[in-house]
Amino acid sequence: MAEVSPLTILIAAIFTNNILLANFLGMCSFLACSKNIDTAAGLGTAVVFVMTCTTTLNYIIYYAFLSKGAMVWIFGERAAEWDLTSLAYIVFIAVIAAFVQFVEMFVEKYSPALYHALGIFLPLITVNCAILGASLFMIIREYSFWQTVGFGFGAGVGFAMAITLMAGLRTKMGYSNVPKAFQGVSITMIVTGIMALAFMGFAGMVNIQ
Amino acid sequence: MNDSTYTVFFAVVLGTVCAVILTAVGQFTQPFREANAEAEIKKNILSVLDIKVAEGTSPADLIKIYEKNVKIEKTGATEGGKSASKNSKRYLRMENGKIQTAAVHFSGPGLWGPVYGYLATDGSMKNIKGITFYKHEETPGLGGEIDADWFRDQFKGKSTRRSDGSFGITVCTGGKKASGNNEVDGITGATLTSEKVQAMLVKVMQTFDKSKTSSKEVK
Amino acid sequence: MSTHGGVCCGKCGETLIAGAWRNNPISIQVLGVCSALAVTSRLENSLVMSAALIFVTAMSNLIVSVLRTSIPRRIRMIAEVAIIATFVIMFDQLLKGFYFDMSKQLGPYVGLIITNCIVMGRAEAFALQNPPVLSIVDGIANGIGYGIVLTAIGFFRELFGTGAIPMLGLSLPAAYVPNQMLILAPGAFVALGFLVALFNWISPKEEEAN
Repeated sequence: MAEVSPLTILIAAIFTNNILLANFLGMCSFLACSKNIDTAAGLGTAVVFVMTCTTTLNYIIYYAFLSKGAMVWIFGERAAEWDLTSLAYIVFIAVIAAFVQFVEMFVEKYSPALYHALGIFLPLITVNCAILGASLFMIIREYSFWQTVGFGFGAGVGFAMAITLMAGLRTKMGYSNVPKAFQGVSITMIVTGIMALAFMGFAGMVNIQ
Repeated sequence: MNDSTYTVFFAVVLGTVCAVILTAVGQFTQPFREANAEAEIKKNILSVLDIKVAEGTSPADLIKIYEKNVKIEKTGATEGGKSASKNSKRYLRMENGKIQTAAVHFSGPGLWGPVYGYLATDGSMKNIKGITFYKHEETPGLGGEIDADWFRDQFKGKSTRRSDGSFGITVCTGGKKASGNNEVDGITGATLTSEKVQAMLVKVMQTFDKSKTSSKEVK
Repeated sequence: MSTHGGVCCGKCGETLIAGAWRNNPISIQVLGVCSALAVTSRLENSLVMSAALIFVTAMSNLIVSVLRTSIPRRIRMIAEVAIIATFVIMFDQLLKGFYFDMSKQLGPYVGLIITNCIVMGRAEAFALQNPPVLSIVDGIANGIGYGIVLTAIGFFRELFGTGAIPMLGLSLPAAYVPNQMLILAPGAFVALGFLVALFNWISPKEEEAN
């Protein structure tokens, strides 16, 4: 996967491989927050920031400490067989939790207005499966450092875009006559399905390796 | 004070217990996991070299079959990038001291993600004996049909050279039906995937030319 | 703390029904939807995923409940995540070692159970306030509720999306042209949407008091 430009991966992550519409990650906050465009946009921005930074951080930590033989640079040759990948999930989520905590403190101190606007959503980003999922995909797809940065940023933007689009649609849906059984989750899912179908039309737009 | 100390104490104990449990489980499963992963790679090579492996063979046995039947030969050809070492090898099935089948790894961009596979030819690199696509992210039912039997079987017996002598193969798209010894039918409704597959196969076949001139025995 | 009814406090049956149906994690609580969409393209995958979730939710509920008076407030969420993660990783490693094909199919979605809102949600909403046995029951119940939805979707998607379910030896007549869309992402969303509508139609949601 070494020859793909990070920019290509970024664009792919937004359109053709949208982390929410193609990989189904981030549904919970998607369903909870997409009722209102402002909330959605706010959450989306927060996710872009957190996702870019955490995937990059996790990349560094994984390849510097966890992967097989990674710690050779500290301990020399005896570390060649050490394989700590089984701790990867826990380490990743600890990094994400710590990072979100840090961002929360920072935002509270320097921009109380934003802090109040985001409210409960900031801590909830910690358990947003999209954030952890992005890091996991980065490992599975064996991205290089800059590819990871591009991917993290693109996935965040893709998520933000999907959630904002959905908020707009749901605001409009408030004026339609949805049958009782379909109200709520049901119609949201169906509409998301149609949106996902539309995004599939982007296939082939980007040459992904 | 007391509250903070307790918090730290709790965190440390919980962290340690979790780490210990996970390391134990990791150690216990490691031989099985590694065997599975290794067998997975070898299974693909065995299948493209047409070495039969019975359903339900254990990973350990499969690795033994591989080691018994497959010879690895380093070639001068490289595809560059991270998997350079993967691509500079050929996997050989010998018979009476002569190469019966030779397989090379290939990869390339598919529609949704990278496509990886092995291409097997006869000893003289003139005819294709088999092909597998062991990892891809193509659309199931459309581009995903590249690993269906009907698509892969088409390649058997086809020539590796075009009519003008260059190495390559054509995957027919746009309603054209394959004809001749150097063409296969593409997948209906998966034109892009078909084109990309053609591109990556042509690329790997180009290396057949150079690999004939520089090869080094490894095993 | 309940005082009647032995080890279950007399509430086991009620908890079981609530978790599995009345308060179904996916259709009513709207949690854990990510994996419900991702793995349901095949029935077998849905079943394994359900098993994983039942295991993780039950075990994490148990441990969180046992520790409920000892967990310091400030690191509550992180502690829960650590406990959940341990069980998830355990399951993932065992899968990689002994059921490798399935591990390949499920991919990162097993690991993502760590962030599955159902597990965390039950730990916060139930296990922290209830005794261990009841918590296990709740964990199992929610897992079963999740499993019901996943199995239904998986069955439907695989049967009508590919025309056959090899695991059950079931297949539709050859004249049926498989509906590709059901196997793909959009199909998953739509299938879930219709299933939830069906559940709502069978037992309409109680009017929300808020």
